[in-house]
Amino acid sequence: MTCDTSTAGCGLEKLESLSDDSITEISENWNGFCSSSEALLKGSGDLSFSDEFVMRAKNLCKHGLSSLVEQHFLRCIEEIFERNGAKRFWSYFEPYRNAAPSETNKDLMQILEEEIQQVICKALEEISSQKQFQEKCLLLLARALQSYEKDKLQGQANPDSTRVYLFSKYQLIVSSVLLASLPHHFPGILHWYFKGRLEELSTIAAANFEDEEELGMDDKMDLDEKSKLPYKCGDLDSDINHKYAVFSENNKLVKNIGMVVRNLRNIGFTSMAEDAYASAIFFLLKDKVHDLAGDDYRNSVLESIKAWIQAVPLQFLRALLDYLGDFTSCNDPSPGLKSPLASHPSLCYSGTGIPSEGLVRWQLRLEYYAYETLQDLRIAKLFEIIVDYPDSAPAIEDLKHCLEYTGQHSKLVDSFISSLRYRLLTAGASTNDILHQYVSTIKALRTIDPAGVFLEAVGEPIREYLRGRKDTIKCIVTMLTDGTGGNPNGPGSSGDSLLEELNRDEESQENTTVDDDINSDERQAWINAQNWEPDPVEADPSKGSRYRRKVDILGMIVGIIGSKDQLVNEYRVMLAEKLLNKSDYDIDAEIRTLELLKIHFGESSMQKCEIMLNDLIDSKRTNTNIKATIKHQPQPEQRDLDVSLENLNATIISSNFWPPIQDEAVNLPEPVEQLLNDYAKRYTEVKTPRKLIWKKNLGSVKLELQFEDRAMQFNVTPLHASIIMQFQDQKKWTSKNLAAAVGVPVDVLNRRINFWISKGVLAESMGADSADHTLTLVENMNDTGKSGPIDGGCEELLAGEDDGERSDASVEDQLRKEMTVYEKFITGMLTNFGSMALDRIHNTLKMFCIADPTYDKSLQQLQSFLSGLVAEEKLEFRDGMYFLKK
Amino acid sequence: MEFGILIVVGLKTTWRGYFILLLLLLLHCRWHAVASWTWDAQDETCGICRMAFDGCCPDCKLPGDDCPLSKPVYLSLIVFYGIKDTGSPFTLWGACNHAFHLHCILKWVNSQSAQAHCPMCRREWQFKE
Repeated sequence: MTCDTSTAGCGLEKLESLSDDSITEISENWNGFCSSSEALLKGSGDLSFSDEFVMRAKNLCKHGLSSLVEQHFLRCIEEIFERNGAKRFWSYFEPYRNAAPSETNKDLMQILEEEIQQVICKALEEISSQKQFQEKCLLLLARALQSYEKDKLQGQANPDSTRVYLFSKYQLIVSSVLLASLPHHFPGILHWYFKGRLEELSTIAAANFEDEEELGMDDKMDLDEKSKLPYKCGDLDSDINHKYAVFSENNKLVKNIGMVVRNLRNIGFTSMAEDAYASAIFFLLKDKVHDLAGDDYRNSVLESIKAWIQAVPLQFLRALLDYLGDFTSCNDPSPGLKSPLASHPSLCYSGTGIPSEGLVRWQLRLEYYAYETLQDLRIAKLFEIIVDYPDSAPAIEDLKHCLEYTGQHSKLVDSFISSLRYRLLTAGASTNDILHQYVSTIKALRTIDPAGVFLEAVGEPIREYLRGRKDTIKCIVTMLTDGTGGNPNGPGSSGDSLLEELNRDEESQENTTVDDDINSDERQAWINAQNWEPDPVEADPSKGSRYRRKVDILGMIVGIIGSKDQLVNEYRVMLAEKLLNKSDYDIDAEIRTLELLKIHFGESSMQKCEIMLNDLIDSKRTNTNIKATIKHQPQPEQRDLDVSLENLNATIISSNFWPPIQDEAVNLPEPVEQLLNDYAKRYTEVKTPRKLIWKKNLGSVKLELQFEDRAMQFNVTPLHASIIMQFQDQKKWTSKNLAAAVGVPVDVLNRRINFWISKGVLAESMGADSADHTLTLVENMNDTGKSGPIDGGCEELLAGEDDGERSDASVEDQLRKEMTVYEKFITGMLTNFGSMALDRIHNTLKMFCIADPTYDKSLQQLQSFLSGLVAEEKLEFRDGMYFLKK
Repeated sequence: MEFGILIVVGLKTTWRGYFILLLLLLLHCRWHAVASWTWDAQDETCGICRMAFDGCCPDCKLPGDDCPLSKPVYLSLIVFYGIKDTGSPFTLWGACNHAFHLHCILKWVNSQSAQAHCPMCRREWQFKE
């Protein structure tokens, strides 16, 4: 009775005017109402009290207590619902409190899942029936109130308003009661349930889907190209219709789910149900994406994922929404019926022609989620993808589409940079690998983002790191020149493609004129202006936008080093080495490479290299000329040598244009020496007044050694040849004597002689003097037991290579030589100033060394030179300052 | 077998005190040597362009035959065709024995109005015949 004070407050005057009669009537009625309503609600489905209930209610209303009646009744309902409905409902789920889905026990889970499925259905049905019953009771009250209202207002008021009001109130009560007592594991169970159902559904659908696919493939095969596109659209629609038909076969399942969803909605769990099945769908989608994409980068998966979304979750949602009556036009739900409008090109999923808004929204959500998932997956694996880049192009293409959709480029940059730092830019990685990866990265990211903004961000750490490595230049040059591929067993063919890149560059440069004089051509400028696009948001504004327009691999590679001059220098050194080791004059490959490099680096910087190649061509010509003189001027008295001149070829170089060449004195065997002199004489005759200066330590000699029981072929350096030829005259040498005869220091000789010892041609034994070994010729392989694979076979090997000695000075040595000019300046400066920092030395040199040897070195170069001086103990380095060593 | 030197080396081995005849045949030795050429002039650099003789004059790109010293080198052709030159040996310098890049000295001679002089010693310039 306490609760009616507030409602009665408004009718306070009424209360005062009440007579005793009416009070007793009211209280009587009230008691009757209370008991009847209680009986009504408790009576399971028994409506025998309804008449009394209605009558009492009406009576009370007459006394203006309608609100009291309402409130009391609702309270009763709430109490009963709480006591009976909610408690019972939750008790169903009590056993599964701790049954979280886990993978540990599949069979058990299966059983549990079945159980849960049944329990959910049962519980929901029960609570729904309870609710229905209560609603029926509510309806009675509503009717009673309504009839009273009608009497009172003579049918002026909206008769439905009370009912609507009461039902919404009831709905609120139900959901609040349930939510208030919601056990925390219920959403999990719900999620689990939906997941299980969906998986079941998707397996059925997937089977159908595959059938479809095969069917579609067959169909497509028969088609000619022309009708492909329009057919595809039509095909898709009919496909979908067909699939829907298949789905309707599985309608039972969907109906089941639909029922559950509807019941859940009924008890006010709309959002929770939606959450549960949405998360289940997303979960399934994620699984599917992972399953499809996985570690396979060789196929594009985006299309199949999209197709799957169309085939499975969307169909399910369609059926579900259809079932729940969410369709805008539910009047045509028969899915198997193909409407004449079905060939409508756009988003028509069914015969109704227009998809419901909710479905479209769902589709967009799902697709976005699929894109995002795939993107995350790909980004996480981007490093691996790029490692086998040319093969993984489809994956890159997918990623590109995903990023276009989601726009999370910065995520890519961040994660890729961190994986680069972690996996590539470590001391263990070889420079070659890093460069290959860099090239692949450039290529891959170029497809994703043609403007090169992200590439710039990603490339920066790699460049920074490579700059710190010493052999970077060398590796780059090797990559540039090795057309055949430095490491054929390396990852893919990405490594040797720099030469191809040169080729491609050539083509593109033919098409577009050189970028430098871009504004000279107004038309070109206009085209450029038309093609202008704003930079992406992520672009670094501190860098000019025109600079990054051109993503060119060679440019970026050269950018690592800083200037092309160093690259050209290193190339020259390598070219020299290669040319000097050539025993024929076949330089076609080098000429081609040089032409390509010339296009890229400019004619003038490649001038010296061109002269080097020219020397080789000239040598070939001169060589034939000299040979020709022999034929024209037969000199019978010198027959032996003349004939042997046939076997002497020479590479004649213009030493001014070649990199500095290491010159070592070697005493060649007498006959060879004579030959060389003869050759030089003939050369002077042919090319007066030029003469030859032999570089005796350079070149190559093809030898064939014939022993008693074996013949061996070698390709060796002249030094090796002259060593072995000494053994023709004398079978036994001590190393000191041999060194004197050959004309090299003993330690050099010892190093070289190892080659012959390892080949089993010579044997070494300790002499009386420990520094003086005795060397003998091994006459018979079988004696030494060293016989093995070389038996009678021919051995091709350029012996000079294996001890890592290079015939010409490296770039570093050259740099060193150039820097020695400044040593005087530096010592002078340090005597004057006492101590100086690196920057200051650099700047001072830049300021004062303008004339003759212009100072054009970088800070790093200066630093390495100075540290060299420190190592030589000429300077001292303390706290970032350089001092003169006292 | 062209350049094969057959050597029979008698080698005394300690192996059971035998004298074993060892055959070491050096068959087929093909030598590929490397040499650099240089102009056999007294000087190192051209007096006009101050470039090395072994390099080339500023107008040229390729050294050697394309940028000779003082006189066109058709001598190689003479030698090639076996035409024996009679009498005077080939010298390419001026009468004063100064050598220049051919292109340099020709430019110099052509720029002089009347009689050209050697840029080094101011003697009348004449190619040595």
